[in-house]
Amino acid sequence: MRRSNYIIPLIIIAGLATLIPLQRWIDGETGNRAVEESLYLPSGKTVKEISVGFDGIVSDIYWMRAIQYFGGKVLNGALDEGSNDRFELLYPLLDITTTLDPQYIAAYEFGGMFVADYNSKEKAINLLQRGITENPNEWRLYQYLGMIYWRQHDYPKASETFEKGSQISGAPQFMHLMAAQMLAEGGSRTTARQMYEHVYNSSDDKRIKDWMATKLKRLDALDQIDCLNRVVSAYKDKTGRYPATLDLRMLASTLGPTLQQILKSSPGVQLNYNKQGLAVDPDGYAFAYSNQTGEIALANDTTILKK
Amino acid sequence: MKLAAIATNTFRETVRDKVLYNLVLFAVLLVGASLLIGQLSISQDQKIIMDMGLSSMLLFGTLIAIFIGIGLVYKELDKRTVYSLLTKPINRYEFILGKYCGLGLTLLVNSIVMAVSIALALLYLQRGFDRLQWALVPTAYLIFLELAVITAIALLFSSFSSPALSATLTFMVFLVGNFSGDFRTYAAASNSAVTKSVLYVLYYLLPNLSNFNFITVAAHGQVVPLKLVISSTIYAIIYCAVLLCAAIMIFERRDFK
Repeated sequence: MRRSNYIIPLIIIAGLATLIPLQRWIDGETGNRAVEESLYLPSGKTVKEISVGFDGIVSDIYWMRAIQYFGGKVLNGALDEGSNDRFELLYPLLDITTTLDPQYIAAYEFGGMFVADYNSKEKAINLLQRGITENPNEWRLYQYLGMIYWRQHDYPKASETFEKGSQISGAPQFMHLMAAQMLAEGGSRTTARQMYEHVYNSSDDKRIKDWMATKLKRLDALDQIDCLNRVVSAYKDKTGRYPATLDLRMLASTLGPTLQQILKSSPGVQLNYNKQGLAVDPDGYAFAYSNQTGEIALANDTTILKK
Repeated sequence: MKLAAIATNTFRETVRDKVLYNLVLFAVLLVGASLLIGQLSISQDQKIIMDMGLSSMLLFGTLIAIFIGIGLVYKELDKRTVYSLLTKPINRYEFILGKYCGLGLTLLVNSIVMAVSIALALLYLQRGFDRLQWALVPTAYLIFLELAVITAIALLFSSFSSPALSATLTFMVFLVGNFSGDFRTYAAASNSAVTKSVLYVLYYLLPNLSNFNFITVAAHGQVVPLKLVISSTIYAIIYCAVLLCAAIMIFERRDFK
């Protein structure tokens, strides 16, 4: 067998094997530069002109880049406590996507949810208003817009938006109910729960569903804290001091039927405990508790949203 | 020695084909841009010169690498000159490597002249040296490495397919190579083990041309770190070696009888 007969395949195999660790090292040094570079043309109109008839496919590329950008940031800990990441490129990426394809409803919805939460509510409103102008029969866009006004505590505007959306053919009854509820009890947790539950049920986007589930978990945790506050108060009333810990088994044995009454008066709230008997949030983290002041809060290391 | 002779001849051939005429177009573009853009853009003229110059270097270089690269082997076959060449004491691998080095030399000359032109345009705008010129050097070098990889891809395809197909395939690899980072992101986000594996294989197998592209970084006056320049050089050497070995393997198995 000639030497070159096996040397060449050997070089190919060894070369390919070496490329993997080398590329990993380069990735570690450079991070994900792809998306940042793609925004060299920040204006949707410019991109539209350059795309010379390929608007559809180019809008798909920008949509995927928006998703990747968001996903990449999340993977890099942008949602972690203490992170100041504001997802600056998310809005321009979605703006380009929807300028290229004004019927890209998923992009409007995504922006209505995540640009509003992480970057700027005004930009999200702008995006949704443009979406409504281009797609006046999409009730979901009114839903997302109403939700942003609601989160800005602008309940009359939120009500008006939900009402407009409810008049669109195919809009669920929920939109009309929300319009009324905004005026009656816009700031209540019940309204928040209904809002998130409905978005969860009506959205086709898994990321939005997951986000709503996270927000609902936070509401569950807040309900649990309210309920625990009442338990702690009842304990103090009975013993004259705050409980040493939030050990639910100990609290149950001390309070007896009073605890049952508190739980009955908090419908839908379920208190859970860990192996040590300590009250835990929906993700299983023990609540932070001060036995000096009786204050209960989410633990620092919990995965539940803190704000 | 034989390899050097083939490389020199390939270089001469490209010069005879007036490939380096693109430099004239480049110079006109750069001078025009230097004079006009300064008036159109507010304080961004140097950045735009860098962007435009380096992007043109990449664009013209890619076009040369693809369209000359695909003809390196095919032209010899088409004109039947390969038959007389291979009857001489020349190994087939020397033929492939010589052709590659010849085009590489053309691209090197092309890149150097273009980089010097950009530096001069910046010098004219700034009335002196500053960090942009320093940033230009490693970035232009990395673009040359990218062109070397593209040439190797074109040579590989041309060793077994027609020029039209080779050009299409090389151009597609060039496009995918610039987006290959997306495979990694998709893979990381995917829940399916099969999809994940396929995407990771594609990511590592296809050339990652973004390893060589630091144009936007350089345009902001940031110098590419030395360790990245070194790692990208190693990457280019290994990738070119793999592609050229594959091209040699295919070419050695071809029957010219």
